[in-house]
Amino acid sequence: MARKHSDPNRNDLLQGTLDMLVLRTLLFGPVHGHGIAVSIEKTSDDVLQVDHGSLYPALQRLQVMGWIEAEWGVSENNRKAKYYSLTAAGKKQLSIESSRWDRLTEAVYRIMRPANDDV
Amino acid sequence: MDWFRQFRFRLSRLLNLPASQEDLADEIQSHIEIEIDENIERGMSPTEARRAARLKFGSIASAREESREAWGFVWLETTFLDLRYAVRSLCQNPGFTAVVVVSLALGIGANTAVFSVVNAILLRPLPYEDPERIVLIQATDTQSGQLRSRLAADYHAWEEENQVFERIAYWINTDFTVKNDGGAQRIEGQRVSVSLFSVLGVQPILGRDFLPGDEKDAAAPAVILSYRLWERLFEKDPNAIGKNLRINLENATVVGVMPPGFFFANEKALIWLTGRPGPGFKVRDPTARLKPGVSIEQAQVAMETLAAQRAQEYPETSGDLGVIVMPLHEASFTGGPLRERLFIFSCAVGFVLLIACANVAGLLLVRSSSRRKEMATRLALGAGRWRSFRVPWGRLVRQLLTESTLLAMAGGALGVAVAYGGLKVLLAFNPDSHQFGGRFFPRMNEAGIDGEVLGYTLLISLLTGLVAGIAPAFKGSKHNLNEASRGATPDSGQQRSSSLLVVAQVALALVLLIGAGLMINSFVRLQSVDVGFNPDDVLTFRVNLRQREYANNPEGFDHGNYSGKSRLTDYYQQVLERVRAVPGVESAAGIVFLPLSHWTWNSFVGVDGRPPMEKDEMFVRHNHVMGDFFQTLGIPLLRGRVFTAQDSAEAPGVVVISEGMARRYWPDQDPIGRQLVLQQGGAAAGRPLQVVGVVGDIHQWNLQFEPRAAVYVPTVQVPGDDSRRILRMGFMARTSSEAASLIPAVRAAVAEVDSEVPIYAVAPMKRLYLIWTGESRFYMLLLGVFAGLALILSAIGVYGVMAHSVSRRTHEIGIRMALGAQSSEVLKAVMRWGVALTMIGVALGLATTFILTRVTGAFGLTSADPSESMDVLYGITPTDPATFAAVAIVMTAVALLACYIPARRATKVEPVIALRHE
Repeated sequence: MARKHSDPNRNDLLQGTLDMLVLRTLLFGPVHGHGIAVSIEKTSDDVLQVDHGSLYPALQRLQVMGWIEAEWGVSENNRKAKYYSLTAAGKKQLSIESSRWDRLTEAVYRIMRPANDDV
Repeated sequence: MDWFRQFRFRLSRLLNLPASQEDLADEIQSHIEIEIDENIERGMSPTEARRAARLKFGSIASAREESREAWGFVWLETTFLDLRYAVRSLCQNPGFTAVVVVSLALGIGANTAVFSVVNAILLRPLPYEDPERIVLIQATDTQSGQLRSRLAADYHAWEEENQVFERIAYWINTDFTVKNDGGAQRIEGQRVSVSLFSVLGVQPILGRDFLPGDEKDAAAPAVILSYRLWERLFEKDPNAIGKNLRINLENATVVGVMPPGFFFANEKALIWLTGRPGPGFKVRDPTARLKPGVSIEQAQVAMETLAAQRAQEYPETSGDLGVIVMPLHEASFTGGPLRERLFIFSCAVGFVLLIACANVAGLLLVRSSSRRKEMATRLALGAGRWRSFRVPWGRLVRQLLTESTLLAMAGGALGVAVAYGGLKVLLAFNPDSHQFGGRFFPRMNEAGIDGEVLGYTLLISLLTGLVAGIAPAFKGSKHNLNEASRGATPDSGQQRSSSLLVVAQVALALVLLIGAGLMINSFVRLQSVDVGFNPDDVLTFRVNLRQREYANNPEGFDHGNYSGKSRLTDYYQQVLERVRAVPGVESAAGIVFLPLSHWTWNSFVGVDGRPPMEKDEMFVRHNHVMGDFFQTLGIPLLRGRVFTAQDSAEAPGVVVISEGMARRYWPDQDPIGRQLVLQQGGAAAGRPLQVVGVVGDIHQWNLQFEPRAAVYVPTVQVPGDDSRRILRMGFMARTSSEAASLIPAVRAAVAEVDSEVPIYAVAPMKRLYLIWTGESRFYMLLLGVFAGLALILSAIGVYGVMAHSVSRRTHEIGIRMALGAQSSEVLKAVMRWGVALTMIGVALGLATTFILTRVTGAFGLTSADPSESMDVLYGITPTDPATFAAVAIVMTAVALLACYIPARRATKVEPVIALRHE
C-alpha cells in the first residue's frame, strides 16, 4: 500500500490499514483524494506516508464495497476535485474496523510491553 | 455486504467504461495539480513543483490499472479488448479467416445435424407417460431363442396371472378401407386392445379412450382417429365424435381423436380400431406397463415362471414357450437396434470435427509463427504482466485463445446454417422401412434445430475453439523478441506440432474415406444384384378385398368364416383383363406377395409321398400367382411349362418350382411330373400337386438374402377354405414405355371393375429397390459427405502447412538455386517432408481402420440380430483389400497434390528475390 521510504522514522502502512484511515478521515465530512492523503500524513505528524498513487485503488475498492460515495466538487483553491464522503454502511464499517484495530494494538502492546521492561 | 449493490456499481462502471476511465484520469490530474499548487505555495519553482508532485504520486499508469482492477471486472474488460483486437486482426487476414471459419462451420454443422437426428431418435424420451415403465413382452422359442409370434391364448393366460404389469395391450399393424364421400381409401392403422392408450398413458384430446365394452360391440365398432386423419376427414370438426365412418364394410363410430403427433410403432398408422384377438390368433410384441416399483428384471423373472407353467400345462401348443421382457426404447420400432449404428455415425461425424480442429490448429500455428514479431514485441512491452495466469506469456495465451474461440463461434454460427440444410437432406433420405409402413429411422422427422440442439452447437463450438486453439496459443506466445527480431526461424517444436497435425488429419480422413468407400462399394453391389427377374418397365400395385363383400372379415381379430373364393378370383381375373387392355401394357400378372416385398408364406413341403417335415430349414417360399407371371417378370422357364388356362380350379393341382427347389429335392433328376404336398403352419396337408415346370430363382424377400427354394401355385387352385390367403393381391404390368407414366390409366382400369376397392402401392417395381437400398444409400450419403469433408479439410491442412514451410524456406531455396540447384532437386527437397508426412498418415489411418473393423466389426454395422435387420455391408468384408487400396491411393494423391502446389511455387522463385526475402 505504501511505498518504502529511506527515512526510518516514517512507517509503511500496515496492509489494510489504509482503508480504515481513509474512512476515519472522511468521518468529519467530504474530502477530496489529495486532501485525504495530506490529512493522513499531517494527522500522523508525517509518520505515516501515503503513496498518493496507491490511494486511488483504495478509493475505488471502498466505493465498490459501498462504504464511500464520490461527487465532483470544487477545491478551496478553485480546482475541480472529486469529494468522497462516508455512507451509512461506511460508518458501520469504520466502527467495526476501529474496534478490531483496538484489539489488535492492545494484543501487540501486551506482547511488546514486558520485552521493553526487560531492556 | 450488499453484493447486489456492489454488482450494480461494478456493472455501471463497466457499461460506462470509457467514461469512468476518463473520470479517473481527471481525478488523478486534479490531484496532481492540487499538489503542484501546494508545492508552489511552499516556495518551489513551477518546474520543481511539478516534478515533486509527479514523484510523490508515483506511477500514474499503475494507479489507474490498479484502480480498474478494484472494480473486479477487469477480466471482462480485457476480454472486450481481446475480442476487439481479435476481430481487428482476423479482419486483416480475410482469406485465413474465411478458410478457418468455413472449415469449422462444416465440422460443427455436420455434427449439429447428426446430433439433432440422434437427439430425436435416441435421446429424447419416448412421447408417452413414464416411458421407462413401458415394456414389450416378446415370446421366444426356447430351442432356437428366436422371436416368435405366439397364440393369443398364451398372453391371455399371462394377462390374468401376472403380478408385475398394470395392464397389457395388444396391437397389430394393419390397413383399413375407410369410405366417406370422397370414395374408398386405404389407410394404415392398428387393431388394438382397449388398453393400449392407457398402457402408453396418452389420452385422446377429444372424445374418449376405448372402453372395455368397445371390443365386444361388433355392431358399431368404436374407432379413434389420429389428429391428422381427423383433420383430413372432418376438417377438425369437434362434432366428429359420435359420427359414423364406414370402415371395412362396418359402420364404425368415432369416439375419440388422439393428440397431434401421437403414434405408436408405426408413424403412418392414422386410425385405431379395437378388438380382442381370438385365442387361436397369433400375436407379437404385446406392450405392457410395469407396476410402480417393479423392475424389468423382476418382471422378466416373474414372466419366465409363468411361461414355464404354461409350457407344462399345454405342451403341444406352448411347450417351447420362452419370454423376454424388453424396455420399449429397445424395440426395433422405437429405434433401439439403431443405437449402435447411430453411435458409429456420431463418431464418424466427430472425426470430421476433429479433422477440422486439427486443420484449424495447423493454420493457427502457421499464422502464429508469422506473427511472432508482433507477439514478441507485445511480450517485451509487458503483455505478460497479467496476474491471473502466473506465467510470463499468460496474457498472450488469452489473446490467442480469444481469437480461436471467436473463430469457432463464427464457425458455429455458420454451422447452424450448414446443419439446417444438412438436416433437410438427411430427412429427405430417411429410407422407408421394410416393416409395415413407417420409416427406417423412427421419430427422425421430429428432428429440428431447437434449443437443445443449439445448446449442443454452442458447447461444441466452445470446445472446438479451445481444442483448436490451445496448442497454437501456447506455442505462439512463447516468442523471444531477441530471436524474433533477428528473423530466426521458429523453434522446431512448432514444426513438430504442424507435422503431427498433418499426420493426424490424413489418418483420420483415411478412416472416414475407407468407411465411405466400403459403403459405396456395398451400395453398388446391392444395386446390381441379379434378382432373377427383369424389374425394368414393370408397374406394380396392390389391392385389398377384405372389406368388400367378396370376403367379409376383419383381419385376424375374431375372424369368421371365409367364403366366396370364386368371387375373389373372378374379381382378380377382371382386373388382369382390364389392365392388360390398357395401351402400353404388354402383359399383366398377379401374385399374392410381390417379389422383393419382404412377405411370403413359408411352407413345409413333402415330396414323392413323404409327409412334410416340420423343420425350419425345410421351409420353402410359397406363393400364388395368376396371369402371365413368369413372362411378365422375365423369369426364365428352365424345364416343363408354365401355367395355362387349363390349370383351372377343377383341374388336377399343379405347381411350378424354382431351380433351387429342384436342386434341393431332386438333385440330378428330372422333377417334372413329381408330386409334392404343401403344409403351412398347423393347417392340414393340402392335396398332392404335380410339378409341371422349373423356373429360375428370384429374390422374393429382399435384395440382400439369397433366393430360397420356392413353389408357385395357381391362385384359382387355392382351396376354398384357404381363401383368406388371397384377400390381397399384388399386380404387375410390363409396359412398353416408362412404367410410371401408365399409373393414371392403370388406376382408372382397376376402378372400372369396382370403384370401391382401394388400389395402393402403385409404383414402378424399381421403387421396391429403394426400400432395400435405402438404408445403404442413407449410410453411403452420410459417410460419403463426411469423408468428402474430411478429404477437403485435410487437403487444406496439408496445403496450409506446406505452403508455410515453403515460404519459410524461401531464403534457403533462393541460396540453393543461386548456387545452381535444379528446380527438380528443389522440388524434391521440398516435397520430401510432405510425402513423408502423408505416408505416415496413410499408414496410420490404414492401421487404425483395420483395428477399428476388428474391434467393432464393420464399423458396428454388422447386425447382431439377423432376423430383424441385415448387415449394412453387402457383398464385401469390412477389410475389403480393394477398397483399402483404392482409398489409400486417393488420399495419397490428394495429399501429394496439396504438397505439390506450394512446392512447385517454390521452384519458380527468382533467386534474387528469394535472397532478399526476409
